[in-house]
Amino acid sequence: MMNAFRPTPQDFYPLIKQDEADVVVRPSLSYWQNAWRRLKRNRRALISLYIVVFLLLFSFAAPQVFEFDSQSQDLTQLSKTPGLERQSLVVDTAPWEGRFAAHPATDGPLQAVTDLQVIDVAHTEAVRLAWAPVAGASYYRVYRHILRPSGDKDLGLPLGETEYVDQVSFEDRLKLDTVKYYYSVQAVSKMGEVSPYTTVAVQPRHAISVRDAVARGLLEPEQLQQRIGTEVTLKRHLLGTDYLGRDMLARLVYGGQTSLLIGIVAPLLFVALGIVYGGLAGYLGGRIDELMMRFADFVIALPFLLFMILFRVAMGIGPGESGIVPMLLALVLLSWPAVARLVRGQMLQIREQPFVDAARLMGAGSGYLIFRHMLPNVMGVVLVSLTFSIPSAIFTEAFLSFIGMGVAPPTPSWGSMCNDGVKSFMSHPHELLFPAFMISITVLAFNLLGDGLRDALDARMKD
Amino acid sequence: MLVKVDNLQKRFELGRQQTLHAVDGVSLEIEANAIVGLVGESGSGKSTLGKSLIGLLDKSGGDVYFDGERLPDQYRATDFRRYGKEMQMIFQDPYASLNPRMTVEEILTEPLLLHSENRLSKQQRRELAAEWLTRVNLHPAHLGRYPHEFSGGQRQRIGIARALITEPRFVVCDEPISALDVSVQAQVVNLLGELQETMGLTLLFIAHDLSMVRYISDVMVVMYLGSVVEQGPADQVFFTPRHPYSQALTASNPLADPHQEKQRRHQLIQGEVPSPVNLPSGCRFAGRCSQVSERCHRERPALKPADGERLVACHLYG
Amino acid sequence: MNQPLRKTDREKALEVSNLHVEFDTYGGVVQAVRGVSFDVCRGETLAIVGESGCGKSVTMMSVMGLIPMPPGRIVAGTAKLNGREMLGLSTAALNKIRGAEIGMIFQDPMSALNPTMKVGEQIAETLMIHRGLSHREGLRKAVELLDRTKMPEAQKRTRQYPFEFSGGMLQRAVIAMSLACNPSVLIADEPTTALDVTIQNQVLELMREIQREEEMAIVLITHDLGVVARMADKVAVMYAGQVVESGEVDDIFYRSAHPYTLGLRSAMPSPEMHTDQKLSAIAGSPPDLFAPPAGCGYCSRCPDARNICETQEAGLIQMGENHYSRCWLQHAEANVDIAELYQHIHQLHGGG
Repeated sequence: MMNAFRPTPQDFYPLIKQDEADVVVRPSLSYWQNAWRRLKRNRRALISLYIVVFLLLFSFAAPQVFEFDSQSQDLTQLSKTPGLERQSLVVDTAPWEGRFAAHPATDGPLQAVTDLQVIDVAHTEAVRLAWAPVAGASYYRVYRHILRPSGDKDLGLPLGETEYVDQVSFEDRLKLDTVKYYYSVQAVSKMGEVSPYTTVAVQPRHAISVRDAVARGLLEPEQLQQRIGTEVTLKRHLLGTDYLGRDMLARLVYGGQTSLLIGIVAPLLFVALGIVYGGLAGYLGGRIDELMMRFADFVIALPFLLFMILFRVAMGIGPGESGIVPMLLALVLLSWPAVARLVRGQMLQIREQPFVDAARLMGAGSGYLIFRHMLPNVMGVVLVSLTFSIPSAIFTEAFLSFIGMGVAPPTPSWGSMCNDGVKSFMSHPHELLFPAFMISITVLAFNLLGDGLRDALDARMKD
Repeated sequence: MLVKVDNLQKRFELGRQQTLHAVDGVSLEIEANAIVGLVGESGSGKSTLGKSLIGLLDKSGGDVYFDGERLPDQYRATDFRRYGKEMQMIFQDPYASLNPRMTVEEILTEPLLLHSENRLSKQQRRELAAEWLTRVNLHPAHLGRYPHEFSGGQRQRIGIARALITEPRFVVCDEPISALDVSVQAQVVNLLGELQETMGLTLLFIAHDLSMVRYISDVMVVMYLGSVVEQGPADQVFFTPRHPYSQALTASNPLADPHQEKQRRHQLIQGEVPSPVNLPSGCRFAGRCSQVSERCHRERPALKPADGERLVACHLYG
Repeated sequence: MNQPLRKTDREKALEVSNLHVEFDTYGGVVQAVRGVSFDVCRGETLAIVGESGCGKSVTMMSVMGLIPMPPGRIVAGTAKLNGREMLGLSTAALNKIRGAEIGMIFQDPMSALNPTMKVGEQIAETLMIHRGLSHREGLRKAVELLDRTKMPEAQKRTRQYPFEFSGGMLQRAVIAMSLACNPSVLIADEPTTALDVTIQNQVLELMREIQREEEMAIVLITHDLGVVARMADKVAVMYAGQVVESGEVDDIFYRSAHPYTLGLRSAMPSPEMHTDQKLSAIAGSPPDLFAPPAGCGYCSRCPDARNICETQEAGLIQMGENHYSRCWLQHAEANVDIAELYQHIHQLHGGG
């Protein structure tokens, strides 16, 4: 406040100023450096960038370091769920004699089965059940369900009926997996009267028959008898296996190679094509530009799937064969117009800028103008377009492989893996979920990266 | 006489049988070492004239002579390389006249690269660029910086350095100060004046600020709808305009003097500037002129001497 | 802060006091407006002069409530319209005032008008909302208003779209729209900057006429001293977010006190000057408003800066009945003869 302040005469002596010409203090950043800085500040985009780098390393660098076998089938572990457990019990697969017991005399209505239990260890080669005999029962029915039964109608898969008189046991050898099963038993009388059901829950552990163990080279033939009841270690499958016993992780890695290769190479090609075409059209302008753009419009109208099939046929690729080349060809030949339009629009705009006139005035030739002045200013937009084209291409490839128009087995691609996984989705969802997850995360990461890049590059450069 | 313009015409075909006559027969003589100021409002064609003169636009008719030599109708890169050394341009928009991807050093040395036929080494080019930065009152340390790090006035100065680094003889200044703040305008105008003197430049100064044009120019040329309506010594045209349009223009020119402003009779001219498409026959200003006569609608007046060095295109004077 | 004396005889249409506005940006907090005060009475024109970045537009936009408040913030100050406080009003309350009691015209008339609506409709809309007129009455009044702005063929024009208008006509239409409800204050933010000088003439003359008829107050924001000389009764010169000099228009032009005002005036060539006399170019650029200087904002560019200018901000010092300057050179202790100072600065600036 003025009141408190009393200036002295010295205060009014002239101020001696240092001579500062217009010095700008901050360090100088080029367009790309500035854009990189802005991108780094955008957390979502940065994370997406890391994900993209990880995916590339995963698919292309990891196989160089680790060994992945995507082709061989581990028949001991078909459709194995992901997990670290690899121990398998060696068992003798001779059929079980069963249990028999005399049935008490008929006395009143049919009771439910009691004492239902598992005999010995339940494993994937056989589950053995036994129970106490029920008075008045003529035979017994056994059911198996993966969910707890909730009523007479919902007991699950009927496994069969006891064959022999007085038989109070059952051996289940039907496609057992290391999941929880619910076995239900009902007694049936001579007249067909059915008792209420009794249930027992069973979780079999992984087992391998002695013969199989020898056949797979996990046991020496001499050790046959001694090794029954012991454990052997199976091959490790971190992410499980598919329905043919192929390692999921290895298939994801190689599938990634296919998907990413197509997803990145195709866009690179058609973006390059678009730059050349659109750049030329934009620069030349006038009639030529019009003609070129009309042709581009025409190409946009062409149906993609139809052309892909045409290329497949033209190249003599039958159904069931891998059609990577027609897919690439179709992608490249039909996707460039969007980029061309973008580049052409930018060129038309930049052409009008005074700095281009200034360069012309100095005697710059067309080539010099295009490459030194105009294209560098277009690059930002093109890069963003590229980053959005990649997820689109990946998705297209996945879709095509899914419907059987892309790669064919045994070549893995994430799309074809999804196709295979759909079949066993109800029982082994991991076969579908993993490749679907990879596709989703790749597409999401590239999209977010593209968003971030666009924000970083398009902003007005006023620090 | 350094630059002679003879009946220059520039037309734009708009399709549908419509033609935009941006420059409709302009003749001009620019003496060496002179500053010729070109004023006019939107649609006058002054910017188009500047660009056609220097070859950035292909002229539709007429001739341009530089130092006695006839300039091409359509310029190719080789023509620019030849004439660009002598005839240069300073642009209006400081934000769009420098390539945002190039450093100041690259921007300044580009003309040297394209013209000097590799007579200078990289080091020499850099030194020359640094020298020019100092000449336009910027610090040589700025060579490594990018245009976006500078203010409008500073960018304009870089543009001036770029235009003058090859030491041309003739420079077209296309509204070089319109996009700048008042105090920055003064900086740029001072700089231009200084450089013009020390380098013996000939300038064509295109602007719409009458006071500034009068201040800097020796000769003032007034354009309306593609033709010159009046021409003469700057002070004369400013203080005693003869053509009714010049009079209206000067009368509308705001002065930073309240007493004068309030005393003025603000002679309004009616109507808007008509579009330069499909011009009427006869005098272009007839529709808005307060002293119009029947002859004006019929016959287009030619640019004739009025008194002394003055040229006026108006029936009132001949 | 010295509270200057004000004229109390005429009705004050708009009175702004000690306005402080800040913005949150990526780089920090920008203090865009740092203690601005002014007032304008009915029938008067106040010109707010300054170059880009001085805060003149932000000041008026804050008063109108047009600054988005998340990045923007009114830290202090009052703005009274006809005695009624405007800052802090709800959007609903502001909407009632805007267009009805305060009109605003901007630099770019194209953006003030909706390109998809006919011009007549847009003018009528204002009337329908604020005055409750029916559609037909609104349209009729729209023709009347356009007529008043001397637009030829007003009837036909109301049925046209903005793209069919030229720049000058658009500005006229915008003026018509802003006048529709007889506002007591018209705020014009660089209304003629984008127009040709002959059209500018017409538009300014129109504004003057309407002011006379309606006893309207005009706040004219501009950087063109010529326009100020022509239109203004009072002037406030702004620099770096503050009013550095204010007074009657004659004070500002013939008795300029602040070095910045002098600098601005000397930057324009007067009719007698020629290139042998250099224009006073103020070296340097305005200060960074992220960290405003402790002392005078103009200090680093002032040719006659004193020690005290660097460290202490000057208050408004009264020079005349309504003439104030924020400069230490005017301080009693500065021991500077005004006439001498004037000459001295003029010489330093290189003026003639």
